[in-house]
Amino acid sequence: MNIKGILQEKFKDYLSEESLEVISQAFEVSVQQAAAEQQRLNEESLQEKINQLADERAKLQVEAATIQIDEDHSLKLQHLLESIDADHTEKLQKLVEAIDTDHTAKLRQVLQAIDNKHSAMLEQVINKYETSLHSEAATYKDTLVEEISNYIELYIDKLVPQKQIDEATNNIQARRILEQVRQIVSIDEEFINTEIKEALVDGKRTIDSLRRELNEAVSTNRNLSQKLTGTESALLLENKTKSLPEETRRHVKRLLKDKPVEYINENYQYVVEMFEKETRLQEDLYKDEAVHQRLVESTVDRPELEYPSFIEESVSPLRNTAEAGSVTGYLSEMKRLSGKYSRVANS
Amino acid sequence: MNNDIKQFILNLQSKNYSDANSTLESIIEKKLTARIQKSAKKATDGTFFKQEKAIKKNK
Repeated sequence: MNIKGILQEKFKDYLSEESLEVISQAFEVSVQQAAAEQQRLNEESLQEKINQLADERAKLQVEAATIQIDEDHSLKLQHLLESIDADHTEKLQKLVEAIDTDHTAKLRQVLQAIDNKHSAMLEQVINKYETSLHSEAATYKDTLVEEISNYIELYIDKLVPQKQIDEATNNIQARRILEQVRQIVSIDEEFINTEIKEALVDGKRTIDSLRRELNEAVSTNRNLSQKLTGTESALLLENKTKSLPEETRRHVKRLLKDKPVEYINENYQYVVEMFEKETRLQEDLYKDEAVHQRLVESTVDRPELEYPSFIEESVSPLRNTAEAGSVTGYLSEMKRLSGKYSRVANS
Repeated sequence: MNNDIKQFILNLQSKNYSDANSTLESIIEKKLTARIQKSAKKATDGTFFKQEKAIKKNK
């Protein structure tokens, strides 16, 4: 039954045929449209579902392919890594072996060099210590022994001085000699005390008298020597002053009388020269005075006075005290020296 | 004498003090004996020369 029939049954009284027709047509059109819409929708949803499923399938296929590729690549990579590892391991092992061999050889060389160097140094050290042990130690030992010996000597010397030992041995020796003398002479101590004392006193007397005689002989000898010296010096003085003027001779004799021969020889020439110099100075002075006096007499009118000659003689030396001072100094020095010489001659 | 001193040093090194003491005593004894002998010889020689001199003087 269609929609027209249903409407005719229900709405036969209300609707005309035409309305029914229009409604049925509209119904039909709307049903068709709805069906078409439904179909379109169904088709769209189906298409969408198909697409979705296709996507899912594609995704799954991609995942499966990816997994497959991953597995494949993993396997290949593992193989590759294993082969690289094996290769690298082999190479590394060879490298390590080569390095080991090289290092071993080098280490052996270094050890050999160090061994040689240390052996040489050790030999040097051994030689040095052997030398020290054989020569220096022996020297040190000798020195030590010598020093200990010296110390013991000093210690003994401090405790028991050599002087005491000498004194003791001298005492023992003297006692022994005395005993021997006693045995030889066969006299006792009392005899020695009485008889030998008397002999000693007698000997002392003899020695004293001999000493007195010796003293007398020595004094006689000294007097004779002095006389001889005086005679010799007088003779020498006489010979030397023989050719001099009288005044000079007197002066020289006065100064050098009773002096030793060496003293006269040393000072004779000097005394003569000094006296002559002094005489010349005196003469020059007298001349000046005479000239001065003559000039005064010619200018001043005064009575003439005559002085006795002894006044001039006594006054004139006093005028040149300056020159006389030097001469007096010389004479006092001469006297001092002559005193020294005479003391030496007397001793 | 030097051997005694060496022995003394060895005793001291080995801490053998009683032996070291004995050795030291021996050394001191020897040294003292030598000194006394030397002094006695000097005294005898001196006396001898004095006697010779006196004998010559007396002659």
